[in-house]
Amino acid sequence: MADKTFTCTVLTPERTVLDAEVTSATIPAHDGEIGILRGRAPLLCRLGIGILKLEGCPDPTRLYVDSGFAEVANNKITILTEHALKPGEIDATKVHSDLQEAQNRTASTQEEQDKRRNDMARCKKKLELV
Amino acid sequence: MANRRELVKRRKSVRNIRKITRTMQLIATARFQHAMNQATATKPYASTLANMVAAASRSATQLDQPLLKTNESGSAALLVLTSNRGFCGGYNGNILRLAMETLQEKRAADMDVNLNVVGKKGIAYLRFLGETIDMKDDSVEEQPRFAQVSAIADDLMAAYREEKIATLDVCYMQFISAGIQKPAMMRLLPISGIKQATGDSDDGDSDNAGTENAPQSGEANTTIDFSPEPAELLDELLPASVRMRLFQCFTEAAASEQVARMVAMKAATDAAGDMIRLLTQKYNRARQTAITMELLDIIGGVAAIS
Repeated sequence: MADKTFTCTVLTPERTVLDAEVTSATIPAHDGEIGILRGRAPLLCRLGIGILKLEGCPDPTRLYVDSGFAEVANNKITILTEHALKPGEIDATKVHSDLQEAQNRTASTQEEQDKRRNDMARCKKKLELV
Repeated sequence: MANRRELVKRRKSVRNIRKITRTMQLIATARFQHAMNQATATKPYASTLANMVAAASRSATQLDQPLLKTNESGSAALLVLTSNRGFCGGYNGNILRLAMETLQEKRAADMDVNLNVVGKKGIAYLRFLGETIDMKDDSVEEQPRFAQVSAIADDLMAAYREEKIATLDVCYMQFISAGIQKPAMMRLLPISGIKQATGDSDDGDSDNAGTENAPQSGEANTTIDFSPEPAELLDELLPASVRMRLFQCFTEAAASEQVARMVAMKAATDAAGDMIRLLTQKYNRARQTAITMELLDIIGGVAAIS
């Protein structure tokens, strides 16, 4: 089994969130989820808002990731993101109230609507983890 | 008598000051450890990001990124990072001296300067000099948060895209090691360094550029799947790298500040110790003189009676 693993590193500007050996990773790319196994061809992609799912590591297997980049090279996947949260780090009550606020917000311009949609997506993804 | 009591009082107050400065030194030492850890924690992110930018720009067919090209019009922006609190020796003074020199140079070259200042000390100093400060921020704490820094970076990048500013320099205390820090200027915008690698490959020198870059990332020869296209990816990667570089400036400045405070407070504690020694000596001498005088009085009195 050992030969099926690869390294997964999750980095934020402030800290290294996770550094583990995994057997599979599902990354939330900007246009949908991408599953990654050992031996994947080099990839560089932008991330959207979503959940990073990891298999085969003892630590948290799910992480909330809010945009960023992912790089796969030489059986090493590196996730760069400005926000990464473990399930335990999410404050459910706060997310609920944020979601309420976003849902009740009036958005008239295109920008406001985009922001509202993104905020709602963020909250919903966070709630999936709680 | 009065002199003696005065000396006791002064010695007491110097002792209190020494207690305070020593505590501040200890606090600065602890915070420095923290700041240093934070500064090193940014390194993996920064280097991976730099690799990604290099990989994407190598594969990008055209590079018309607004952050890469030089703005012809607009003013020269200067971002000065100072501390919120004093008691750190020449830390703020040295940064502000460099900032003022640069300011004069740019003014001498007939350029408008857009002045951005972070930290209460810098704001107070420049206001005293009567400079107009375009952006000031005294909310950044001793451990800068990425969200705060990226907000500042986003504002400046927006101004750059609108060609309001032609260049952006950051003036901050560079942290070289725990023993050496020096005020430094860093050019943040336009982004340089990337241009050359892609410039070469654009000019048909692609073989040359490929071999040059190969040792750095080790994947120049392999094809990378990009999603979305490299050029589009760069739209996001370049701002991210600017934000990151600015964040590194902030964390380095924070570590330097703590070192400066540590050194300054160590010096203050030592100086207070010297002063206490001197005052004790003076006090003892005064006490001895007083005793001698009293004795002489008594002996004189006895001599007069007998």
